[in-house]
Amino acid sequence: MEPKQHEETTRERFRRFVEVSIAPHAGEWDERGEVPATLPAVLAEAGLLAQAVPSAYGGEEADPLVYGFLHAEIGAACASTRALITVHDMVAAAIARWGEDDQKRRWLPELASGRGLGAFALTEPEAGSDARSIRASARADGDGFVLAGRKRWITAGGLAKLFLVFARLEGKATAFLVPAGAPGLTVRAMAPPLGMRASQPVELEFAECRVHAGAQLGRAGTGLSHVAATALHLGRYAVAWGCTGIQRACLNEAVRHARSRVQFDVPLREHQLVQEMIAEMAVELRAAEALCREAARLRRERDPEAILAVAVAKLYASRAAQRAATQAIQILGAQGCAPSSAVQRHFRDAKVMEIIEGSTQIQQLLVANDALQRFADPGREAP
Amino acid sequence: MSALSDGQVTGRIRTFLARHVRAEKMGDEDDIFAAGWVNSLFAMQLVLFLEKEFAIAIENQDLERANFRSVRAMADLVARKHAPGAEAPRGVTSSSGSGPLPPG
Repeated sequence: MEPKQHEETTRERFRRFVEVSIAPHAGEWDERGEVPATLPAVLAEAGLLAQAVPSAYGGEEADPLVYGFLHAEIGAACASTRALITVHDMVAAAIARWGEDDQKRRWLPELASGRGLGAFALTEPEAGSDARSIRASARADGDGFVLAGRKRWITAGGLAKLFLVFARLEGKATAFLVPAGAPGLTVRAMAPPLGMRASQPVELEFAECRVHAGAQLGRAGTGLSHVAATALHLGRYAVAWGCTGIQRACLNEAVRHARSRVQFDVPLREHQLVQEMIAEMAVELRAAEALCREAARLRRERDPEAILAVAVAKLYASRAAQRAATQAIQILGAQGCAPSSAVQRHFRDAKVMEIIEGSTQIQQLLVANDALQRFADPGREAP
Repeated sequence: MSALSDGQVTGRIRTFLARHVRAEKMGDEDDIFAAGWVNSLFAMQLVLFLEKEFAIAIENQDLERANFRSVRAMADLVARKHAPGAEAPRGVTSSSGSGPLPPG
């Protein structure tokens, strides 16, 4: 099968799965503030928890574009489910990239099969965008480590079997693989947030939490610069594609309504001010998808420019998703504000997309720093 | 790739750094981290660059600041990786646990 045909066939498979297993339930899960405990098994059965795992460890080793399609399709239906897959994949990607062979053999098949769901534990009560200010600590003790501290807003923590935890070991930011049942680890559910209400964030408390020596992932001091950076790079990429899903869903809802709703004796579609909003949504969807495809190409080529391209795509797509959801609600009017409306859910979810895996402002700083270096200086602009 | 001269390796590293490092003038021995010339994305950009440009694999044990602090240090790392008996480079789609999804 030609690569392009394979990509489209796989996207169609994702779309059918979402139509049957995710979309009909997304509103209910959002209202309840949780997904069913059986969802990871359903996702695993469809191979959707194996996308970031190398084939040598039982994974799908997805091509970046195919991976993007998955997040666009799921993101259009249920941002909470997409977030759950993303954090799981972030853990898998970090292990695949920086794990020792025994760590890969221990965890990657389990993650790929869905027997263990992964969660990314970086954020703390006092450390959000400023990840360098994490206070969680680890100390060597006998043949292992003892962790202490707190983490907050850990997506999918209520379902996770494995946490990728960042703590300071002798003052150096370091990554650790901590099973959910580790002694001294307490997992507490948090109230559902504004958006992605079913993503089941938790608070983690490490009180003399003991893990064995093989729990350290990567060298001491590389926890943020390499391990978290690897995970967040994939997370931002997934969020960017997920945002195109929100944009597409909002545009579909807006067009459907504009065709059928009659006001002032004509369908909304004939009102030019409505057309203006539809046009903006359509242009911004194309622009976001183009940026995501560019990021996919660079990731496929393992080009260092992929790092910035993903930040650009995440920055643009998350803001465009917010605008698309705002415009969709404006077009649907009161119907868009109803609790049963999908667009009000997309509106709340899109706002959260601007915050997770690096806020809009963090992406802006990264892009601005690059632009200040790259432009207005002959020879530096072209990648 | 091992046929590259030291001058070619340092030249390619300098070209890459010129796009990413805020420095008016940078010598081959200058410490790019100590000078505060790089941002938080740079560590991963540097790993990806070295791996792709010189067909080498950067592993955990290579992540010593001393290996990346200057043009000279990076060129020496590349030379060690290219030396006879050094570990074979990782393939983009190999089964070594480094498939295309993880970014480096």
